[in-house]
Amino acid sequence: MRLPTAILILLIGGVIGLQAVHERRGGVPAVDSPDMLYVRSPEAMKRLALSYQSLLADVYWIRAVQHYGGTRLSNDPNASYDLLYPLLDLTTSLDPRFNVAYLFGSSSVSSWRIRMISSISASSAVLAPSTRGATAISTL
Amino acid sequence: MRTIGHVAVNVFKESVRDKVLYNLVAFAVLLIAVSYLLGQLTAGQDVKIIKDLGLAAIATFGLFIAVFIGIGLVWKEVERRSIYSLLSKPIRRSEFILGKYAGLVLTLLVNVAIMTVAFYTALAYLDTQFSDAIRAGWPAPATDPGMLKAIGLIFVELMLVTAVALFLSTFSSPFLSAALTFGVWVIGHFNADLRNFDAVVGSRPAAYFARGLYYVLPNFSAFDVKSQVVHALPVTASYVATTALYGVVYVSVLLTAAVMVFSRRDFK
Repeated sequence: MRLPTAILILLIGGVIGLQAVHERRGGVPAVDSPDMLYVRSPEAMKRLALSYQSLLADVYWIRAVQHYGGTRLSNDPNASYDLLYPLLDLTTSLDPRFNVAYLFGSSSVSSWRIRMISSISASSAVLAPSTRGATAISTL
Repeated sequence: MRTIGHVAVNVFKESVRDKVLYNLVAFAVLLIAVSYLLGQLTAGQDVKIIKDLGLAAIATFGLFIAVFIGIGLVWKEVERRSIYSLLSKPIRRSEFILGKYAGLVLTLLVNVAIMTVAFYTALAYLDTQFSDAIRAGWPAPATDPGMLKAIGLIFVELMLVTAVALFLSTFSSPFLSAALTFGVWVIGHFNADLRNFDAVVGSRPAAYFARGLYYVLPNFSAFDVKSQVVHALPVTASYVATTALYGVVYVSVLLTAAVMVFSRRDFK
């Protein structure tokens, strides 16, 4: 092996090692941050999308499906579907003919709403995390 | 006419030597990877997503080729000083510009054609993965020939982008030309906002100014019928014809202006 190659490998090893040290010192958040949705305004997104409106609608559709499935399967008691409505709203605004998104939204958002109401009446302990969801319901 | 052909063929050969066609590999990898991953990510809608992605990718790859080669067409010859030996031959400056343009359009045509074939092949493969019952629920078959209308309009749009880039490259530096071409492309998609500017601003002169820009700047959003063809909505032949005619007339305007600017340039 020639010297430059050896130096290159050594340096790459150094970079990876230093990154590991950086991580161990708390450089990177240990857990994934909760689901983020940066742009919630369908009007703004329509303009930002330029000619990629239907492609972005697909991206938000995939995110909605993933968000629904991920929340459904999670063991976290605080998991909520509060991004479901904005995600589907973005999908249908970017591509108004995306019929499946309306169908999926009408069943999933309403079933979540029923569960929300029953959980609120069942115990007051879950009331605090669900108030945000409750305001989301009122906007639906 | 023959001279234009010679220049055009040379531009095409140069772009092949510059490995422009490698982007086709990227396109193929993208389509294959996404069609494989989609099954993991989404519930249904695979074919619609592949159609959206394929059409958007054809438009985007073409846009990058049109801009980044278009801005260098004239500038490179001037920078390398090969323009002196070229113009000392029996070739008019107008023929030089038109040949350069035709060459890049030829490159784009070859690229878009190969991407279209790859796109339909991917869709034909995807089509075999579904049962007849699922297929019956689709608004259009997977290999719907109606999508060629959208691809045709994408090609006219790319011709227009090329003309903008070539026009700018006759008098300005490549970086500025690239920035301006992308700028014009983005503005062309905000056309509806320019048209309805009076709804946002009360001032009449400002609204008239925006309305004037709306008529003068290229209307790129008119070429975008991707979402209609994916949902199998009717795109009338007259719409396609008018839009294509608009594109061709706009291209002629830009090429005439480019020839005018280039003819007056003094190379020392």
